[in-house]
Amino acid sequence: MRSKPFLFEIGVEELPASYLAPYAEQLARIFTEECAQARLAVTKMTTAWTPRRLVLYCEKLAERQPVTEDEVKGPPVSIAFHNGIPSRAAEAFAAKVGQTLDQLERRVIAGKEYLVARVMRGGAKALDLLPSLLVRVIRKLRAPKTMRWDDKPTVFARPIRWLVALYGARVVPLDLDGLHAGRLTRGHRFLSPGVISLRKADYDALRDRLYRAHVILEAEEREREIERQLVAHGARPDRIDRTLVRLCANLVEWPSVVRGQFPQEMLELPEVVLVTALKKHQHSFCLYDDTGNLCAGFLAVANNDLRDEELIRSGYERVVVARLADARFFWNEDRAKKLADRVDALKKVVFQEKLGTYYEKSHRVRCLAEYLATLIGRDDLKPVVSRAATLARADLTTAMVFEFPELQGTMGRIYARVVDGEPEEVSAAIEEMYQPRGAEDALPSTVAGAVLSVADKIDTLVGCCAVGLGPTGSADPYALRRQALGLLRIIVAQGWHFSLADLISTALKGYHAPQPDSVAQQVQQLLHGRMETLLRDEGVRYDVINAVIAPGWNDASRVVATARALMKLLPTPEFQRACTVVERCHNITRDAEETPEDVRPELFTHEQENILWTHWHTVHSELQRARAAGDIPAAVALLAGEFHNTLHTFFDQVLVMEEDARLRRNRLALVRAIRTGVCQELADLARIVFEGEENARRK
Amino acid sequence: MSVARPTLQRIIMQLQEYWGNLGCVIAQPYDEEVGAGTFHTATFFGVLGPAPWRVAYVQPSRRPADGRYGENPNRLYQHHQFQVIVKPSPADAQDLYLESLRALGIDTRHHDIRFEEDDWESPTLGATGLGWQVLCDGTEITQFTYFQQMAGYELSPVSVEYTYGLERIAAFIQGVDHVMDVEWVEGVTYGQLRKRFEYELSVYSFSGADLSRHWQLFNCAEEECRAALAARLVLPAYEWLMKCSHWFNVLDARGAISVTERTGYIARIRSMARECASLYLDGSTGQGANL
Repeated sequence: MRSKPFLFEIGVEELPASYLAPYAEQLARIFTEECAQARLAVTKMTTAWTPRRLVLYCEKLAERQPVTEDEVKGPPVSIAFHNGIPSRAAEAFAAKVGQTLDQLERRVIAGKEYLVARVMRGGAKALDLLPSLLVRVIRKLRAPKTMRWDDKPTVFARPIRWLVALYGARVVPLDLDGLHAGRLTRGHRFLSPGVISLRKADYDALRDRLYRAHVILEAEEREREIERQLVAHGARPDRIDRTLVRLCANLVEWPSVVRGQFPQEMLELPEVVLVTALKKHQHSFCLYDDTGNLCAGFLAVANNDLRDEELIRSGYERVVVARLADARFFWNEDRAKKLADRVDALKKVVFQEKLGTYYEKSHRVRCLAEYLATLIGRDDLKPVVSRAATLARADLTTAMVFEFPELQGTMGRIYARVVDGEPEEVSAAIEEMYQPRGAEDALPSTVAGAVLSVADKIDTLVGCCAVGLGPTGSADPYALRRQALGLLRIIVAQGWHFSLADLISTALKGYHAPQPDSVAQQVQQLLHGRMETLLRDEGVRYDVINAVIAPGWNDASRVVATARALMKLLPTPEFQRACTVVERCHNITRDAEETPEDVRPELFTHEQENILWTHWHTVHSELQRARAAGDIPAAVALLAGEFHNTLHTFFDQVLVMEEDARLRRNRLALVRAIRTGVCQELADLARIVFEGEENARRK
Repeated sequence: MSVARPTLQRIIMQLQEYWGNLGCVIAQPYDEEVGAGTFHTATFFGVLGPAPWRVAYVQPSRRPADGRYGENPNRLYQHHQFQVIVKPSPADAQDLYLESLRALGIDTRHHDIRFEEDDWESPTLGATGLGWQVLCDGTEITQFTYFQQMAGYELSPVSVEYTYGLERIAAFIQGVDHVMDVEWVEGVTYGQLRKRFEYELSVYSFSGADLSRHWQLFNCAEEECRAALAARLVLPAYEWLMKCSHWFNVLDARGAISVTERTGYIARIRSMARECASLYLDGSTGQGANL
């Protein structure tokens, strides 16, 4: 199949940095789908982007669709002809396939004779298919926020101003609401104004031409260039903020690093404030000396070639100095008042319209934190968590947090320490209450911080669910799923064993929910879902997740510990033997009738019944001991050992499905007791699927 | 054109000349207290409906909460916006804007000019737009917005709004760090002309303004707006809306409006805006009515 290279560029007014990579990913995916749909073969596709362009290139795009001969089925011959005269059905079919009646053939299909037509399909030219295909691709690209512009109906994240579409050396005649594709691209807006004419679809040539026009086409290349320059200007390679590098690379086409200074006295500001002010608000990098301390300088990434470096530097310095001067003003203002004296002001800060103020929330969290301290057997922590809970939100009323909201908690810790003179454990807990802030973020490092964080999160979860703000489908406006996951991660990391249901019902007491039971249920579902997420993220197999969650997931630490242990035991023969114990019990009772819960030994008629029942009693209490000790391998060994044989002997010698209903039901009750006992003390091992077994089990 | 460093006065004249030459009506500031140039009838009504429209004007804009007694280097109770509306937005919207910077003597080749994502909305006017803040060496000098909605109406065609922060631009061009040191015209500083105003209005809005009277004013203005709307008098109704909005801002600066109440008051102003726009679109007779 003959093919040619294809080059496509969507030229835009500056796109938001965060949209670029997702747009490029969609462009490749949707283009591939559309080509598959249009039966055009594509190979070796690549994408690239800058703030002003999205580029797609493929080395080979088939010139034509493949030609295939298809058979189209028409009416049955019995309907197509009456006494040898063609009916209207026959004529209509011939017209539909564009053939004459004598070109049609006859064929027997499923015992009946039909008219059929042989039709050649495909063969359309890429150049004819591409214009509408590309318009569809553009219309299918999605972004978080889109707009219209001028008097056009087109919708995109920012106005599209030019299109390049070259197939080989030819322009694809594409018309997007009056914007025609051509061969003209553009270089850097300021450094190389004017257009660049491309002779043919050639990615390397495009990249070179753009480079000469002050555009580095590939984001990774711009990132490398930024890092190289940062280091050349004195940044320590180990302290370079890669996320910021990636952001800057998506803000410029021709990155040039400028080094600026600010007055030494600004270093009196807490490091986190300096870093935030420079990074978040100026996209600038901090500089560190050899001992790891901040220097009174910064590095900014300009979209320029710095022919007049001094001009740009002095501009950046003025902005940075003004920002830092503001921050220093806030720092001085805020320190004039203790956090403790700010608590009352929280009565005016709304947490959530239907859930009252932060003052009220702080009170609830304090009660929950004290309750939790008792629950984990750490009554000694009560004074610390109580104090921390009281002060924890007070930094919301400081000027610094008003200006830099991302510093809430962090400023609380700093102010608690330097202004209020609180002990380190209290101030640390204030900051750690917010952890983990995301899936990647660290968990609280102190127990008091962990207690506070769990208390705060359960209060938010319960409160939001109580007023109907719980997550639905993909909508989770209060990020409750993230908070639920954070809560579970903390409990597991701390190895706390307590009942989540109790925690939920205690948290519910802080609210006056009209239907506490349904709220509790909603929160439980939320946590249940996150528990599965947590296990999946750890690489736990789906059947193991089901097995460990089946007996209940109220004790999160136990569930996770069991899952981890089972994953390790999975390949061992002992584990497989242990599973067969439960499986045999499961298989025989699965479809059997209801039975009373209690086993009545006086109804035993076979000695193996007695043996099994006695043995199970021993094993059951040993399982309970193993559970209390958290010794999963011991529990598995118990089932795989002598008990395994006892059970099999029982099944070999005793007919469970005995005709006498009383005996039968008693035997079923015995087997059920074992199955539920193992499930409660360990996991529902019947859910474990072994390789090659899947089909056999389904029978 | 003079190479001497441009005064604030000259910057205004240059922008007027530049946009005037591009077919903009050079309008005058609206004589009501407004928070932004967007409130001017030339923008609010001008962007509604299908008729092409180009206008430019200076609009003194009051933000009572930003008052700093004339002390802060760049925050002001009242600053000056140079507002431009081009409807429909032209294909070279960015180039037209950049050319205006060059007209002001800003060398776009050697400075670091950026268009950084900034989505704009005015909940009181029911207006939204997408665009950028334009940064020059890290300083924000202009808000550049493609209006998508006004008074809740989807706009078609789309207008582009350029809002130049005149004080910021002047301080940037003149290389001064404090707005009060900006040269308004040779020999006269911004501070000489504006400091007393900044000081007194800051004092007034943070401690002078009588809150209960302002609540009354707000409620009276709303009633007047409703009455004018009932009489199908769009522009008088809209003027009362502007007053509502200003008094809301005064109350807000005093922290007299709780977060919950806030939403309610904003919704009340937005509903007035919606009705003004709907009445205007009903009987629109073309651009003559915009001013």
